[in-house]
Amino acid sequence: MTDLSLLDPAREAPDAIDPVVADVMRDEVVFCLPSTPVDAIAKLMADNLLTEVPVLIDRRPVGYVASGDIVEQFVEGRVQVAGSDVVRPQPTDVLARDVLRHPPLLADEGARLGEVVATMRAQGRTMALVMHEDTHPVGMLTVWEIANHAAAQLRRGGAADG
Amino acid sequence: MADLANLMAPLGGECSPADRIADILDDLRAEHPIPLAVTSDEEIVGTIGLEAVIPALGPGLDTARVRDLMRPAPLLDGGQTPLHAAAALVAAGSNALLVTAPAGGPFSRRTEPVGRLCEAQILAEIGRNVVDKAPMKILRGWRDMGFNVPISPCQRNCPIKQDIATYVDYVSQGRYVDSWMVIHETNPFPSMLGRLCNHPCETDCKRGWDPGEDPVTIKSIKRFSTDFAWKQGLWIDYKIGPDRRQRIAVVGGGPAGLTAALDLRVQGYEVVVYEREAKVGGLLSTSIPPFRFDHKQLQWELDMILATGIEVRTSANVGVDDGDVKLTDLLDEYDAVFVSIGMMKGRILPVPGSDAKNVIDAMTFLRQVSYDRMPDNLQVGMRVVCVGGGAIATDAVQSSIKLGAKEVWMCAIEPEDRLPAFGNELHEAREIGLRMRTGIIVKEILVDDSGQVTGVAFAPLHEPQFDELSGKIIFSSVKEIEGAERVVVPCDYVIFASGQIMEGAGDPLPLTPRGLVAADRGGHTGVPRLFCGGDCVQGPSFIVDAVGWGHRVARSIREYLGEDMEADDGRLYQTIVERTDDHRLSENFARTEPPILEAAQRYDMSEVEQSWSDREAIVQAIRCFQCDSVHHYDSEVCVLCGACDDVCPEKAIDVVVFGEDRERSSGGDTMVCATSGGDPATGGYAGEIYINYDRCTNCRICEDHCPVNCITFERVRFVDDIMRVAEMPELRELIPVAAG
Repeated sequence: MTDLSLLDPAREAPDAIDPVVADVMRDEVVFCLPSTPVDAIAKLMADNLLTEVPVLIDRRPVGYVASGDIVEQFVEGRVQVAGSDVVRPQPTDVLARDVLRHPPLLADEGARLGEVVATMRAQGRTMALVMHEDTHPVGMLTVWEIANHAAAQLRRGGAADG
Repeated sequence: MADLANLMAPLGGECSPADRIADILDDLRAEHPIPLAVTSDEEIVGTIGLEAVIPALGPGLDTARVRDLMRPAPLLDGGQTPLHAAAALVAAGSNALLVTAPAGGPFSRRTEPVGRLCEAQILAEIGRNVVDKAPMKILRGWRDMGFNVPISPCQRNCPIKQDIATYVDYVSQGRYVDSWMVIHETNPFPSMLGRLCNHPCETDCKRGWDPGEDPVTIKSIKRFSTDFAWKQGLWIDYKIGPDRRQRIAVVGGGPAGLTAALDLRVQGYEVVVYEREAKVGGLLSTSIPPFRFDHKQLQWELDMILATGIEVRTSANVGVDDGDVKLTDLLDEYDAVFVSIGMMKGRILPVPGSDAKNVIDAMTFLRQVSYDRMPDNLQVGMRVVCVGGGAIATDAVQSSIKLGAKEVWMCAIEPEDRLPAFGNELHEAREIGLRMRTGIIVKEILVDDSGQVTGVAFAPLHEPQFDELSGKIIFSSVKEIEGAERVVVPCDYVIFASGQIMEGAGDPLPLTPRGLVAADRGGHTGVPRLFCGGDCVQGPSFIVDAVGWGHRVARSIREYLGEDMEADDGRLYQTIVERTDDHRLSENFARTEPPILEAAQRYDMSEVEQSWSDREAIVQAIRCFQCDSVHHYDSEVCVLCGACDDVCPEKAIDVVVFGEDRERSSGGDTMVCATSGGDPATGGYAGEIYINYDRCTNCRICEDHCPVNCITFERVRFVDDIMRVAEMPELRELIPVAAG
């Protein structure tokens, strides 16, 4: 017998409930190099609402820097906060490579969002780098994009389970 | 350092431990990155931020409760510093705290929470005074970045428009592989051009514009990156586009032909290369002696090209003789044909005695050396005269010395200081015994009764004139000194390095009166489906010019075959915005050249020029001004004070405030910022900032003096996903460059 629920015009397509990452991701990659000082990374994080920043060599991901590690460097006195708009502090000697964590969490742009969020949850991560054909990063999936998608789902009354 | 009271966000968003995440999701998003305070019985018991969404999605947003996901919220007095706040966060394992203030009157010991402070605010404080604060982003697609992107003088002068400032900068940062990849974007032969390029880029390097300064050693930096990639065993896999079902024949496997073949292959065309030699590479593998480059690296680069699926038919001459492949057949068989046959035949001047047995042209001489063979009739201990003073002559005389000639003379019509050969190569040759006679013209090859060469007779010349632009000799000004005694140089062997000629590929190749192929700069010949380029069109030129021809003609062929040049074809196009380094200390370093082998070690075919150490390469790379850097003014911060304009030592900046009627002095027309602080008519200000990038040297004095810290320097690059770095497979050696 025909399942009448399948004929419900309001029923959402599977792609709307669990879309591919490329449809949800942030369409830019904020990154740093292994040689980037951590105070510059702190600014990147603050400006772009990130708690993890991928470290790339050219466009190849080699790891990531977590905000907690920069805060720790600050507590231990390796990063200075001083100066003013006209007197700048000395640049820090602590570079991304000194606090580099790896491996970076990579997600294919065609992967399902639910699957990637489950991996992020299992690994305690807040950012996945979205890759094109396993070669080039093309976007980022952060808490912000996930929350926005979940909020949209809630508004539509759909399941927001990951 | 600011205190916490100035950094914190006021109390506001709240929730209860019993709330479901679904209920507070909108509040979390609205407050992000500041967390909500979790209150219970009017007491704040913790905080919860947007990051809780990820664990909440496990059980479901409708199920997960705040109490399960909230974090502790340590309290800290508002008079404390961000350092204290950071320590409190680390100690509590939290990412937010509550800022307190005294409450209950002047003598009260009681405090109460007045604000929230999270990790993001501390990070912003750490990054507040970062000088290099330009965004580092990869953006999908091609975007209008809102400001102009300058082309550096070196790039402007390069026939293949290499992104020189970028690859030099990457070496200065230790990013050698990145540097090598950037080089490969337009240059499939960096190991050769890193050694043999005539480097027009260095001619116009802005570092060299300064009195007492020399240009950056761009060519050798390219060699360094390539040497590094070679030693690391790296390889480039090219991504081949969808099959276009169109076939293209390339006649001549030299630098022009192979560059075009590669460009066309990666776009999905089927390419077949016809090469008359037993090996590909053209002039690279048959006319340049082994001591000038590393054969294995050339093999590596050729294999990277051929591994894309280009078919090569060696020992297949396209010409008019029996057994030759006919050009007309190729035009019938293929959708397009690219003829890049070069000028591979040497010319022997028709003077008396030039048909003697021991007279050879330099191209034939070098070709035989390239196959690891002793040139025809040359024997150890012979005395050799080379007629000509160019780069080919220099290679021929050095090869003669290395092959055991007892006495080698270079005889040229130009004066010694105007010889067309590169200065250092001549110097190298003289160090190992080359002798020179200049200002003379060959008149006769002297031959004895048995037909053996005994010497060459030359006539002395008046001082000739030179073309100011090209530096080449004006042949009409070459005049013999009447009545002067002839100069005879005794010898047993004569090499003519007096020009090259093209061997035609037959009809319907259109020719000019000079014997070159008639084609425009894009390689169009007027014959349907037939394109030509390289030395056979331009005349003898440099390797980099040939590579440039290859790129141009490949584009012409793609257009001719009806390809939509704007279609993305599934490729990934990206824009990279990144900070550029501060290279102000570079003035402490002088230009140096790579070391060469001691003269005593240069009597065999070992490569003469040696590679740099990491340190030397980095030192040379940081001499680059990075003329591809763009000023980025944060127009929301800039107050148009004009401090940058005032302090610029190069007068490259013009800050124009509307209403001041101030004349621009920079002469530049690149507007980088239009700022408006309100309607000038009502007391506001508005204006624009212009940069003349031809003057700017990226000294960054403007950045230092900006009172509102709104200037940054960044680079914008447009890239695609055609290349992918990989490990080197075993070299194929199917078509070996070195025959020995």
